[in-house]
Amino acid sequence: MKGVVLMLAGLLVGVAIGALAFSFASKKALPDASPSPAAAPMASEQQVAKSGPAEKPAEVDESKWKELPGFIGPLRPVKAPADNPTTDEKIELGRMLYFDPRLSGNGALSCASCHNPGLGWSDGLAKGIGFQHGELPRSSPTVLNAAYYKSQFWDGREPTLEMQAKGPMTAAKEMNSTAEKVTAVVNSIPKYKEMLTKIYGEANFESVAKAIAAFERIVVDQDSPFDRYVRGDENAIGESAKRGLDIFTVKGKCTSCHNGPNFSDDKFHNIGVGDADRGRIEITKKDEDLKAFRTPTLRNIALTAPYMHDGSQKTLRETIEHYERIPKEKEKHPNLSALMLDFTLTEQEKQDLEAFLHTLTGDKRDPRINVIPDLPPVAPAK
Amino acid sequence: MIRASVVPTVLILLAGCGGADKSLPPAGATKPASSAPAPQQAAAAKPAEAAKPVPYPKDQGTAVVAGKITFTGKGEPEWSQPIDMSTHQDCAKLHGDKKVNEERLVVGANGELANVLVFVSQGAERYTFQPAKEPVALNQTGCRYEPHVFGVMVDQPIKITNSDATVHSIHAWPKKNADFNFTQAKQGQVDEKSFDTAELPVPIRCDVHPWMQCYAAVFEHPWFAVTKADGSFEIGGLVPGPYTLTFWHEKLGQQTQTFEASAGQKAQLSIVFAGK
Ligand code: HEC
Ligand code: HEC
Repeated sequence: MKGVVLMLAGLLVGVAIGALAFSFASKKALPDASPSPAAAPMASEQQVAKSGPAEKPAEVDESKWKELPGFIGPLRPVKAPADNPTTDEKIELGRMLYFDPRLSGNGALSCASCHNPGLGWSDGLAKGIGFQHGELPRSSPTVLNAAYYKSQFWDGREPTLEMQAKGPMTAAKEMNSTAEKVTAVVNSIPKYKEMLTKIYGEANFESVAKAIAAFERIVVDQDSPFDRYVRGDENAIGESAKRGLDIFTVKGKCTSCHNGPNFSDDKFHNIGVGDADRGRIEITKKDEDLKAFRTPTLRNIALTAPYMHDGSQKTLRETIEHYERIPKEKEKHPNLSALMLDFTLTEQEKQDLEAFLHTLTGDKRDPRINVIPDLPPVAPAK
Repeated sequence: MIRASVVPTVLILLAGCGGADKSLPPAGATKPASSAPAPQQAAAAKPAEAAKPVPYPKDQGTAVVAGKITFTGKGEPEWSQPIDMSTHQDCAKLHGDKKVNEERLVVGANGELANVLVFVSQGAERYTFQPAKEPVALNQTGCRYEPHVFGVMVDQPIKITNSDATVHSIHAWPKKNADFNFTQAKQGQVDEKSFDTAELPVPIRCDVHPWMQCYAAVFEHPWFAVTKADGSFEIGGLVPGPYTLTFWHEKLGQQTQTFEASAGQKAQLSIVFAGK
């Protein structure tokens, strides 16, 4: 019960933010893929599956954007896979499923329990709490902008959101259901059965995962003070944050890994966090992946403390100090990434870097992600 | 992905459609093979638009175009000012007291403009070419890329070397090709990469050293060159006929020039990029 209250409170905050953001959303042009002649940043002729009225990519002249190291800058629209283009119907359906605890083994946990809109689409915990209050081995990452990753999970074990969504539903420690049970549940709820069948031709575990993934593809933001600054609004971020941007890209060498529009190189590095968790090596069996984890996005980082795969860093300040400390004690960390380079910051520089990280919180979201869905009833017993 | 079998198809197609579509970027760029019809159909469907390309007749490739590019005026100071490497002692110590300048605009004493990419943007679609096998070299030395601008054919290997006693993380940011990004932590490390689609420009940057950047340009044909320190360029092996050359500079933009190539002759062009 407590969980539900928390979740709803979170949602209300989310709705308020959403409403605020929406009032100026229409004026903001979304970045698109128009080529700029020189020094073109990453873009492509992205086929954005059009899904509704909210996100109309307008013509944008990227050549006027600031060119920053590592091509950090505004995100382009999310690309949906060819076999699951995003549509309004899928979003409506996926949203209900995302919030529906009936997909779990004990009817108590939904995706939103651990990826709560009011808690930055994460849970505010060092390690997630799963089935029957058991602690999970890793921290729950935010779902916000997860659509931009080339692989999902801290160890990158699933390539797509479609594949990812199946994991928690059947993981014993998480929602602890089975493919068969999920299929039975959605077939017992007439609205799910009807919508899944209409959209995907079948109401089963597979199509549930696809619908949730379609919803997650609008759980993104493409506008933060930092993005507006890159697009030319000099006043979008303060002087301290501007100095922090310089520290991020130059002295702190953060763009060695947190690069590109989503602040992630989508690669795996051992940065000296945690003890027992062996990370990606469990997937690839390659020595170079010992304790390597996927570089997470830094977008919305102010919303998602505590940090790292084990939630071991409580604040951004601690995280920054981690990067200062670890290269100086290399010998304690076998297989430490060669990109963990030594630097030392002054107190002022740390404050500036923190100020910069705070400008990465998006404040324009698709209003459709802030709607609390009414969950459809099960069919009356015959 | 199944490169070997796809390549020849792409080449034919390119040459078939490249000339007809004026909206295409000038790099001899093309639509991805997957969205285009099979070559036979393409040829059959639009016979009037472009003559079917023929394999490049090497023995007729006797014409040459050469020239010199100059720059008048001024660029932005940050395009050529000394690089501050103080935050990266690994690089600073490689240079001692010597300053290394930005290479976004490299101009000689008499305006000779280096690092201009010169390439045939119309005329190559008449032929199909074999991808070059000899690798193009890209060296990381003194925390700079050498060369700063280079052309490469589709599927031609790019041999990437770290000559520095420090770590580099080379990151290509294409729009049409698959990107690549890998770390070279050891001095002397060599890796090979390639691009499978024509594209200009492909920025390449070092994730560790923010000033390190260079550009690749990927072509379906071998008719490209980059101006040297004296502003000169030369492209040989042309089959007689009309051509358009495009001159691309990372900061100054691009311009084009048409010319007629004649058997056994060298056409001379001189081009001026005007600054502010
Ligand atoms: C009990 C808590 C819990 C529940 C319920 C849960 N998750 Fe997660 N989620 C996690 C944890 C913990 C991870 C990280 C696991 C790992 O990387 O090994 C994660 C990872 C993810 C990721 C990967 C994000 C990234 O950065 O790679 C996505 C996406 C995601 N979950 C979506 C969902 C969806 C969709 C559902 C519902 C079907 C769901 N989660 C249910 C805890 C949970
Ligand atoms: C060698 C690559 C690398 C470099 C350099 C790097 N990071 Fe990270 N960063 C990572 C990886 C990988 C993780 C996740 C590690 C884990 O959980 O074990 C991470 C995690 C983080 C997190 C926590 C994210 C979250 O959601 O929990 C923050 C904040 C962060 N980095 C900021 C920075 C800053 C600031 C810098 C520059 C001072 C920096 N990083 C440099 C790779 C890097």
